[in-house]
Amino acid sequence: MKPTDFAHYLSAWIWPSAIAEAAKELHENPGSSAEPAKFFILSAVLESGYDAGFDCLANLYLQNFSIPNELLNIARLYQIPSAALDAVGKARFTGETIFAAQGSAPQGSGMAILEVRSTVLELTLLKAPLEALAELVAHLAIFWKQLAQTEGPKAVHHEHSAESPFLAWVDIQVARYYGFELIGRAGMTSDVFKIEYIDRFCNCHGPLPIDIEMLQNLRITAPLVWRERHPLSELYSKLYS
Amino acid sequence: MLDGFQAITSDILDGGTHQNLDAYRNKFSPFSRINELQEYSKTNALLVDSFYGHIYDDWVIEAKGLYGITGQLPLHFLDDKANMGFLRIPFAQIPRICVCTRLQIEHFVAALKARFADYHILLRGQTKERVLPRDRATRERLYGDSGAIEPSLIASASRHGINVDMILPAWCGFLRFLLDVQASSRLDVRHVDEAREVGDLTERRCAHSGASVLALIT
Repeated sequence: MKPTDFAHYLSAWIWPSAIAEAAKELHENPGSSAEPAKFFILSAVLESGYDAGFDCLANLYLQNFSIPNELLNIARLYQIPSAALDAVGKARFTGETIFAAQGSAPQGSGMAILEVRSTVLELTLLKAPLEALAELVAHLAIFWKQLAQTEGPKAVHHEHSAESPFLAWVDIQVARYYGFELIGRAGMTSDVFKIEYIDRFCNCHGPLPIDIEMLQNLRITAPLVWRERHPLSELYSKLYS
Repeated sequence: MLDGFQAITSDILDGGTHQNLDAYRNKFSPFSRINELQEYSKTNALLVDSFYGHIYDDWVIEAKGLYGITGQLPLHFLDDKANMGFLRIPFAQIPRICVCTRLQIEHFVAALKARFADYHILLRGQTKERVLPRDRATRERLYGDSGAIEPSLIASASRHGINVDMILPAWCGFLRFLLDVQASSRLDVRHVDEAREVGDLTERRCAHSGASVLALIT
């Protein structure tokens, strides 16, 4: 996934009203928009700013941050002077990030995993998408952290159910952080024949071509390996052992 | 090339992809006639079934009934109730059962619950039966049955080729704008907060469910 696409998708979490507010403030009081400010991203799940690879994803977003034109056009409905909105539309992240190390002190509903320092204007725009990213990463981290305790890094195939690439791509990044480095690999080959027969689904793979005797053997063997349900069931599949 | 198959390069396979490609290459049904594949040449060309993500060396898809020949697959629960034949998907078949009353549906649901006690049974409706747009020659090759019916159960947005991620900012922004304006018109701060919570929740669901939510709403 291109970094700019990732940033575009995540920017869906920016409120048009936040863009309008930032533009209004810039129009009425440009000095205060440029004042330095900071905010914290909290998480009750992630143990540090580096946990689950949150730092990489947050930095990727900030480095490629821009306001989607669609959101800018919707913000124009708030009847803010166009010049101010155009100026906000050119906003990029110019500040700095401080990711908390493990063991930082908890604050409020969670631990501060990230401190973002920048201008008032930029922070007005960035807070919601960064909070959404932290929540999404935390949600995915719970699954992969648990799975890492029971499955080896080569045992799981990424078979997501998302219909769009954003969630699947973030999911892979989190999985890799927890040791599933080969997640998403595909089209592997095998030197021996293997059969999988789960519920109604019966298939084989192995060295081809195959003669009729071996094929008959696979037909006979298949019912012996039948299982009602996949070991990891539905979202992810366990590779043949 | 078979209908619905696309050429892919091998470089995306080892590095890991989020495109839901199959972990293994050249999967075949033991209830195929793949043994008739005799001559082959290794061209290193790879093909993927764009509907299912199965990956093949190009010469392997010459096999007849690669996904299992209709009529030769083992029977499973409720298959004996099939009164309209079967749907075909790779390596399996799904019974088509015509029902005329709600009671008949409830009967089948009860039978499923009894058989699969720890399963969550989900019912999914379509205003009409949709099938994959594959030509007869391809279905003959894959299923040994040119009349095989391959169901298409994707969400409406995906069916129309809409990139859900790309329109997410516009969709969520518009929704939030409506909620914001509606709440603001009441001149009550509590309503503004409520609207924002609804907006956040809707976005999360949209992001997590992809086109499904979008399709339901549109």
